[in-house]
Amino acid sequence: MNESTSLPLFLFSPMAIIGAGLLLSQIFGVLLHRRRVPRLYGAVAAGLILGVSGFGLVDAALLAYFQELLNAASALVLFEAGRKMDLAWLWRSRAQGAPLVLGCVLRGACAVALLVPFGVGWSEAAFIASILIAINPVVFTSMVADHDAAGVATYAAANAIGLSHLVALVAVSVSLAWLRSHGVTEELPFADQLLHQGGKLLLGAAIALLCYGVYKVASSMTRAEAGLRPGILLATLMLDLGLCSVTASSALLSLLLMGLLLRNAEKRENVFQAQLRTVQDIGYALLFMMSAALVQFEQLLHWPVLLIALLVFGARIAVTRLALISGQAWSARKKHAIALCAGSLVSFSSLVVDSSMSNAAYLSATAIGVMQALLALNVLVAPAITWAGLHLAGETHEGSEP
Amino acid sequence: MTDVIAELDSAAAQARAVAGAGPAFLPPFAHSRLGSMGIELELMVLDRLTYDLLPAAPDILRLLDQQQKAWVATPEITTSMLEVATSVLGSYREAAAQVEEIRTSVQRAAFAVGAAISGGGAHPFQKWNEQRIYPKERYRASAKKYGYLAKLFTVFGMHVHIGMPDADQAVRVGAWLTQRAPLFIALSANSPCWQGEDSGFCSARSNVVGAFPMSGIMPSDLRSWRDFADHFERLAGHGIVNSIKDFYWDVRPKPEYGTIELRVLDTPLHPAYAAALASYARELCIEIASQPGRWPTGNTRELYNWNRFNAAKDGIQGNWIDPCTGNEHVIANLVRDDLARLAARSDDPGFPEACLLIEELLQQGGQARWLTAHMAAGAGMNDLARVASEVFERPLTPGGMARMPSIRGVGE
Repeated sequence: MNESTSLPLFLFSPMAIIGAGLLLSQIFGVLLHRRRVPRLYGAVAAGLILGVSGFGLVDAALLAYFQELLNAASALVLFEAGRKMDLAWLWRSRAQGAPLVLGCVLRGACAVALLVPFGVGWSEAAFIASILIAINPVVFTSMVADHDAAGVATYAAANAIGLSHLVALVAVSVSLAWLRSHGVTEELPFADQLLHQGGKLLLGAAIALLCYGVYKVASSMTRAEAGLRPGILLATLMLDLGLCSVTASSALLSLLLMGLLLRNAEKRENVFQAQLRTVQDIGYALLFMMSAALVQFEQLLHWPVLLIALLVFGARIAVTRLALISGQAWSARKKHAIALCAGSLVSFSSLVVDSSMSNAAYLSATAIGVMQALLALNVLVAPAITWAGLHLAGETHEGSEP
Repeated sequence: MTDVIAELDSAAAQARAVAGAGPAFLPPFAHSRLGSMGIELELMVLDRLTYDLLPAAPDILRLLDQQQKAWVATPEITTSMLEVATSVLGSYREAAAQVEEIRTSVQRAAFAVGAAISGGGAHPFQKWNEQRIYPKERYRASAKKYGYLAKLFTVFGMHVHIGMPDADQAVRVGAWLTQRAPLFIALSANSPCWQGEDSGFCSARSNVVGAFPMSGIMPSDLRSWRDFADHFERLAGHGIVNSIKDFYWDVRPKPEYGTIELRVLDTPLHPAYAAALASYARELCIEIASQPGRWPTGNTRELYNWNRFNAAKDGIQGNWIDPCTGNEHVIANLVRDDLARLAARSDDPGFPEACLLIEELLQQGGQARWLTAHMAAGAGMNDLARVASEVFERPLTPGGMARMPSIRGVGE
């Protein structure tokens, strides 16, 4: 008898495995919630059990089946990040907007400052630092939704996430262009690489403008009220994703900008007043997959690597807090909370959705080790830190009860 | 010196009684100048994207506390509510200037933390069960005592204090002002929506207050401060009240301030209306005070409730039955008659400006009609909250007119 025929049939269906993972995430989430542990850790636990650290049922190869879906999910998460960016507030309330921008700069700078002495090359360090500018929207948004958090620190952190992605997307384009022209592989010259990477961003931005125009025309023609517009919005988002896919442009920037445009340009009857909550569910799926594919405990067993990863992780939070010193609208407690909420980080694929590329190809073994340790730490620790931040701010619903 | 010590003792006893930490206490009635006034406004703190209520009042209060000001800003029972109170005012112009200063300061502080502010008696679509009790012992005690009513009380009212020279006068003028309180409900009505639905009322907020056991009106058989004090003691003996704050009456005496307090108004969409409506109440009280010994007649609770219901339901287009004569009047006409009569006798040089603002309200059919016109033009609940917030953000124009933009102009 063939050995494979003795295995349960569902193991041959990637969809069934992902479904089982999500089910497990929910079950663990509910059980953990009863023990006052954030529900989001259900997704982390399920990923650890089914992923490469556990039974190995979910790994990067399996996730490749869902690359298109994962790209779309990542882009939708950035759409959510974009729609939380209040440009009028960031610009006019500069005492608050400026520290959030400064936080982006300092997160990048401190990562370079810590990685170079550790033996990571300048260009690699700059590349990793560009990624580390961004704050993970999945962890934050899911945690906010789970705990019904609302308030000043939640609002500021949400703005910081959108802002960090805008800065990180540009920084990653430049640093990746440099890395590809000067790094291990030495492909095209820097200028050509920059044009290539920057072109993806510019094209993504152009597609966002086009799709926003389509959305505006469609909603104006139909005179649809806010509650009736999510359908039109969904259609234009799919259009945006599709156009980005065929033109190999940055779907992430494109959807981030779509969110930004809708949030800030559409004043009357804003479509977001319909209270879309889909990102909460997407968050669970993405965190499960991150936990399954990215966390390998052995990555954390190399003490020097773990040490530098912990240092970078802590330093990012510390410099974000440092940047907030000049913010006038927040109490010290809220500033601590915002810094904690900004503690999570993203992976390369969360900034550059392009299945033809792998960041690993451009990095040395040391840099890959550090990045993998950081991502593992992120999955394990970031939800707890974000949860602590929201509680410290006193902005979760349960925290307000007598 | 003895007076100062007595005042401090009285304030401490009052604070303990209000907090429920001491025995029931009714302070002696402080004497005020007739016609001095103060305005309290409960304001909504809103999310700048969805215009849902945002629990950011503690952060806004922290910023306001850093500002030198004659007025005060305090928390309210839920964290999406912000209360502001003027200093003691002497005229309409003084009131208009101070509420404009309050408007600017509060709006600036709210924007700094990423929130918006709005007037209005009730948020159009907030869900009461999503509200959060302000983290302060007194409010937690209220939440424990009143259960869901505490969160349901996330409504936004305007209170007007009118100074009274003595306690007996306060009880008598209070009885008269109670009769006319429905006119103020109608004039200020701007809460047509409640929990996401068009309530069919111009002031849905007015119905919420009625759920509390000590709501309603001061009993009409109270004819002196002594009568009132006896009434307080009787209720305190049963453990029903502990301080004057336990009376949720539409008009009540406020002995520690030496005022009577009119508590029925929805917070106006623009603070300029607050100054105008407070001046109207002030002139009415001055007029009544000038007729010593005269008491209202026909003040039955049922008739008052009927007048109150009509005012809340139909606003200024509603009818008001005069308890003294039994004659029925359209509220808008009655207010115009009142204003003409009071303007002729007022010694406040700014009162005609207040009358013009109130006339503006009357001509537009009231703030509630303006909001329902938006709904008729296709605006959803969120947009209703947004346009109300935009009205609050408009600076007071030199002429003091045209606070509410045309329906077409809003949001374009």
